[in-house]
Amino acid sequence: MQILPARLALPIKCVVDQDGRLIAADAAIRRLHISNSGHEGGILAVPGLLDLAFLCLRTGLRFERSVFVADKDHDIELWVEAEKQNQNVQLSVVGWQERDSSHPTSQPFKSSLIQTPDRKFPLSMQINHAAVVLRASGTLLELFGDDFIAAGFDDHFELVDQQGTIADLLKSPDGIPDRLSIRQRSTGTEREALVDVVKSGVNKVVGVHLVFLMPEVGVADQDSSKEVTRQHNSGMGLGRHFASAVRQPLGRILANAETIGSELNGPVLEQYSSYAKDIASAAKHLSELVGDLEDLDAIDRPEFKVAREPVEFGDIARRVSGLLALKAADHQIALVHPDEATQCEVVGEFRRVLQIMLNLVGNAIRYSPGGTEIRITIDPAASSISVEDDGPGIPEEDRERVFTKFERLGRSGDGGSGLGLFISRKLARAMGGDLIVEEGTAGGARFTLSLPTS
Amino acid sequence: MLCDDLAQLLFPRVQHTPSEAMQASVRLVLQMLVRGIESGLGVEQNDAVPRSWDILCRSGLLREPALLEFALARIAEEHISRRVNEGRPDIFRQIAVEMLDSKDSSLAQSARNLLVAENSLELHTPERLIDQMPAELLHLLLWRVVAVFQSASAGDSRAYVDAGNILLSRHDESRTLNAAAAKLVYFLPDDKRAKLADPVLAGLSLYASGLAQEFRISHDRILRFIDEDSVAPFLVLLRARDCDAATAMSIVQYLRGLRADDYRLPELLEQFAVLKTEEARSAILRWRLGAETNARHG
Repeated sequence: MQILPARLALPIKCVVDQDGRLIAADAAIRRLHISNSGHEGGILAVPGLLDLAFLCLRTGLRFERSVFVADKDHDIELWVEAEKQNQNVQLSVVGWQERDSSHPTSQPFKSSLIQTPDRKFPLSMQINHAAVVLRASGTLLELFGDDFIAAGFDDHFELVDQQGTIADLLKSPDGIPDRLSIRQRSTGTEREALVDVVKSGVNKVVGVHLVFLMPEVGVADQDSSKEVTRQHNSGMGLGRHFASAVRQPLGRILANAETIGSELNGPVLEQYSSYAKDIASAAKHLSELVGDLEDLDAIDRPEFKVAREPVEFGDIARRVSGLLALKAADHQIALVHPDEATQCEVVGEFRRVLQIMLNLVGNAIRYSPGGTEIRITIDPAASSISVEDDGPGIPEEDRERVFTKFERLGRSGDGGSGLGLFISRKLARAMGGDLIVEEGTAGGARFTLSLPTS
Repeated sequence: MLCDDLAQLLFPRVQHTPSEAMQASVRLVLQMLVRGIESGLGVEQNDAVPRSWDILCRSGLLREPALLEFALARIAEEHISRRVNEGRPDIFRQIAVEMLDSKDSSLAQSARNLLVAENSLELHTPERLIDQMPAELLHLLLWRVVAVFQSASAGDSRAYVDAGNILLSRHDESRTLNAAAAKLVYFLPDDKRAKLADPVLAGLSLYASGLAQEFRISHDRILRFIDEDSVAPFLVLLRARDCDAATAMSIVQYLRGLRADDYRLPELLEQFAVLKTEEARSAILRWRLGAETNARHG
């Protein structure tokens, strides 16, 4: 952690009026205000400080809080005292610590990004060495939704005229070029981006800042991209924006219904509690369904592509076992996975393979009777991985049907959406492999995912 | 087709509800808060439940996420403290004790506030509990309680408002356990910072505050992660800190009150081993952004 540069003398003060306007400020706060697109006499453009000022104005109480502020190439954690003075609030910064913004968990608040779009370069972003988006200009957030922060760069873009991914380039001993051509997956639009490498204090490359070079057509281009997204959304798919928009109210429905249903707020009539629990359960399943439909939307796009990277089935099997061990234990089901010595390297997209396996093992847990086991096995010769359960199995005539959209084989009320296997097979085939189902050795179902080795 | 499937999905069976014990504990904490405020307003306390309780319940106030979060965190804090205090070593809370003698008066004051708050909390009285509330939460609950008595009083209700103002003016957020710990962590000298990673040396509050500052998750949420039925979220925090497996297991053992030969430890070790630091950090970033989104949208 770096501490306040010596030239800054604390405390640093500013005064905010009841409308949130910065009416007086020491130089350091004024600089933060201006660099966040604030202007003289305007609303304080440092969101954390403004929130604190409004809290103080609303309650009339004194507060002492830490406040994070995004600065140019680092974050600042301030210790701020807020006190109401007549109709205004005086904010006194008594602590100033600069923090390394390369740490993925120490990024600025999203609100500050949304409220301060970079007008000069409407499309700019920062990603870390694992190609996770850490910051993005307001325009990009409008385009891709709030989920863009913390999303994978490769989900939305691919490199043109370059082998591998941007994460590979960051690791490459040859370094990363000053300019890159990048294609937006959803629209196919190609853009050139200036690359500014971000280094840690010990000169290690920890990420890049990308600025897309289209300032003269930026707004028009943004509009056309929006139009493409809008047109796509108006079709059969749900689209990212719709999914993002739906998730939030669903989350609130879920939280409130669970609170009422569990009678945390005191007793309610029994049938009302039961209704609330049903609402909570429905919201949970709708939320999962939205996730499935979002995936469906993505893989139905003609430009949908998956990354090609080495994936080790043994590693996948052990991860899936770890992630679902508790769920399996809840159903009194034992998960058996291959030992460390069993390995099988194939080519595919790691997270997609993991997604398929989570779906297969999750289904097996859902439909297997308690007291049985689910076996994950690997066949290196066939470059495949299988999930076999001791459940009732799938009749031969239904084995292809289970891979069709919304096919539930007459089941209902168990939380499934009928999309998981359809999506999984689509993903397997997009990676050059396949997903099939056969009868297991003990009469249950055996799903086998095979992927190419090169 | 889509409509049929959506219809089938609408009312499946309930999958998860908080336990009876947890519901009872939350209700108890919330009642203590209301009772503490009523007491501050000069309302007589003769009944088993606070006098404004029923109206507050019906008004929906007690569904406020921030209040529930506060109550759940206090329950978690109580659980963890009870486990930790059973075998409290002599070096417990060494950092705060050392900071009492700091030349920096602000640091010394924060250390004093922290130790006083930790000891007060053990008294479990409604008054001590409201002393621990964030100022805005006290402000929210207080004026709702005042409103109940105002609407119920036939004559002049000014006395309740005056008493409410006095109660608020006496509240000093910097003396709450969370605020004192957060300030101490913020201003802690570099040579002491390494000790924050050790829950024995730091004590529960400073340890949680250290994690809260590092990952920008609220102190209360960290306490709940530590105490949750599933250890997984806490393991993610430890992995994101780049903790080695042995250290992580000893911390889990200490804060969860597990014996060295507990049958769960090998399984936890296995879970910890498959976690990758980068993945853990990304997961925490998502938790944080989710929490901020919820906070922004109420």
